[in-house]
Amino acid sequence: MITIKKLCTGFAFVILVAGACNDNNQSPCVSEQDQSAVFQNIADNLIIPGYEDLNARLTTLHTAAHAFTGDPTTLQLEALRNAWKAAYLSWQRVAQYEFGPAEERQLRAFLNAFPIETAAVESRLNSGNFVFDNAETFDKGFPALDYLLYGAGATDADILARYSTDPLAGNYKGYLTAVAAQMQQLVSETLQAWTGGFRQAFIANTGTAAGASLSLLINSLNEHYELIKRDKLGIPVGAVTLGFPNPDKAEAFYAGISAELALEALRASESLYLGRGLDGANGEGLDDYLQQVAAKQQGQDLHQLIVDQFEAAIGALAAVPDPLSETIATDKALVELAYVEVSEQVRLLKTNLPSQTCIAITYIDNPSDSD
Amino acid sequence: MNHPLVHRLLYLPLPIAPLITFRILFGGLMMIGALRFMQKGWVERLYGEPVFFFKYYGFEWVKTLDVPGMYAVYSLIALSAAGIMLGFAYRWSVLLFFISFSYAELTDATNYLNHYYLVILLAFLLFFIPANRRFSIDTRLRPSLLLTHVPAWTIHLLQFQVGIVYFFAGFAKLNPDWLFRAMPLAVWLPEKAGIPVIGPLLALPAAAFVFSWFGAIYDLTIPFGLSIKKTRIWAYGAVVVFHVLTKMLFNIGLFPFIMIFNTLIFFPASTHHRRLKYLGYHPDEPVTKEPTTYNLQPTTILLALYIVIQVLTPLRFLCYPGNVLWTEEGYRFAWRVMLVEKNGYAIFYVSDAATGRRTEVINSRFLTPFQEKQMAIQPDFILQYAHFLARHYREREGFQQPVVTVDSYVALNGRPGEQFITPGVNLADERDGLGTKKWVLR
Repeated sequence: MITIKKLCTGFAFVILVAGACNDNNQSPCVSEQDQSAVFQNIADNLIIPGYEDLNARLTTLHTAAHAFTGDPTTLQLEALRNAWKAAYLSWQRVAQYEFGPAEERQLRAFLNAFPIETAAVESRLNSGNFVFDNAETFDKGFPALDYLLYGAGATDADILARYSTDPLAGNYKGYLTAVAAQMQQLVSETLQAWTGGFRQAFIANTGTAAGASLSLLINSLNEHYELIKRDKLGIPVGAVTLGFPNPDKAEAFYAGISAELALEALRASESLYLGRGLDGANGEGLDDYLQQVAAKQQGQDLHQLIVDQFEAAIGALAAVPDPLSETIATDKALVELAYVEVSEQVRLLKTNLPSQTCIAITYIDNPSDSD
Repeated sequence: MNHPLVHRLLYLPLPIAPLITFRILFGGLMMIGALRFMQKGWVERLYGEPVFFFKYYGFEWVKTLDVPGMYAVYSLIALSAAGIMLGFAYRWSVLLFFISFSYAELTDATNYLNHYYLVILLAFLLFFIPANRRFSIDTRLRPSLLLTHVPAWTIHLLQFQVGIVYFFAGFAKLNPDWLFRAMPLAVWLPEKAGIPVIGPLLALPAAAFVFSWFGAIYDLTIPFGLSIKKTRIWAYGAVVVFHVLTKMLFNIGLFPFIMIFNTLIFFPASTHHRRLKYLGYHPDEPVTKEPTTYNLQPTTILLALYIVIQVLTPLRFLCYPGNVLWTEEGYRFAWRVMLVEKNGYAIFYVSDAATGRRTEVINSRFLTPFQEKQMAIQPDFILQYAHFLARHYREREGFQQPVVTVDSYVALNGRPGEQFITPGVNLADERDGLGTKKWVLR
């Protein structure tokens, strides 16, 4: 069996050489960056403060909703609208963390399924049934409040009339407070789950496996980024609908703050990538992890490409004035440009970032075996 | 052609026992496989959810049935597999199995798996192999069918088929990514760091290299190890260890069992006799052989033809320029298993000069997430989908001459993404074919 011995010797030699080469030439998936440090920063400076902020603002919103229904005046309406807008902006900063506690509660579906289905809203108003237990309906969360606070009448006086003289005034009030209560409840539960144990598990869940924290972050960043691209911009401007714009399908169409919300969401994506906390301090983020794998694309630094593209996208979107629906009518090219700049980033985030960090895109699951 | 060696390899009467084992295990496993497929709800997910199905070149005409129809197909697969296992109406069972299984695979090329292709080939071969001629319901009903010995080619052909899977799987591993970058195992193994005991070892950078090189050497040598008497038992031990390990590490379904069972065909009849005895098999009945008076020449020619096809098919990638892992031209039907970690992105644009309309396509309107993922990395799928879009926009959206272009990037084996399809090419005008796809950047 001399040949077998020779084979084994050759095999061992090759392994040694391969191992030796490996020391100089880093294995593609190894990053020097401590994963837990990244997760800790993201949990403690982005996610948990993000939910705390949202929870506080939703509590304010809930209180304001009761104040308004008890006293439906212009002043109270204004206060409620302000509370709604502040909470909506706060939501944009955490909408992308749809895993763990948020995923269990289907937070995105219950808080921000848009565009609103006015027929469904009307039927709720008529029936007086304000139990929202189906994630698939488009009649709850922030979009419902957008309609109830801005879209229920042509003028503010008309809207106020809905809550005072309208025969359905009681149902309008009930709708408002039920939606506000549910949102606050869900976010409060999510926050409690994070502080109550998920934070620890999240920080400790290192590795590159599907379901590990790095995979959760990169996947949820991607998934939400594509929603920003498609739902907040692509569908309203008509880029994905044969060039026919659908301004009425924009987020917060009635309030007319769509561009502002989209910009906040885009900034949140950038913050997650950079590890930039709510306080603005740039801590350890996905960028630090990526830089440690020294990713280059066609001689260019992948990290720099992503940073530059975020800047370009944010710049282009910031140039789009609200209401988005009007800008689409008057200066569509401006919105299309923002859409293109936002889209450019998808390639970097969806193809290069996962590939370089050895993370599989798992929000697309394999329904069968593989080989 | 009448060389004594050829005669010994093909026509020497050999005890039928290895075929009996093969038939029982193959039929049984396929039956369980079809039941498992239905039980997991994959019929709904793979045939109910999609509205568009990808096809193999030349099989575009195959229509997918609705969910109840596909349940009927999978039930047929399970039933006919049971028929194979029991040796009941064997020829019909094999034929029915071959047709229903092949049909199920042809309905959506998204779900291509090498081991499904192997199953189809084995079913094809079993049709010509009299594996029911003993220890079967058929022989119970018609004792005249009973055979104790079969011509050697029936066993050697199955050995060849199983052996060639390993050999080409090993051959495909002889590429720089696999050998010198340990890709894609360098991505996949660290994912498994959570497995008890061996997990931490898998995360070591050297582990991917050890697995890659061991895997290549294993695949290339195992057919020979199984063929030689002296090494057979060790080789089989390696088969079991190797496949159990891959089963633990990867989501590869029935493949490990298929190979652990199939490789038993390399063992001599005596080994099978010892095991089959427990099932009530009596090896020492009076010998009955099929009279070999028929003309052997056509059989020899057909066997040679099959072997040549099986050797050439995996090698056809050599006819295409560029890296087969990137272009995927000549990739399928070549036993390329676990060779790539690919990440793709494909955004389609449809425009119409006549109406001046232009739109980006939301892929999720037409494809399931899994189909979209597979489409983005395979050029023939990209083309089929582009044709589908052209048709859709012509018939449903009033486009007169739809122009379909794609912005497509693929990241292969941990490299940064690169443009995959020539930007600006109107895919609606390109035809699929066996030739090189000029619009694939290479």
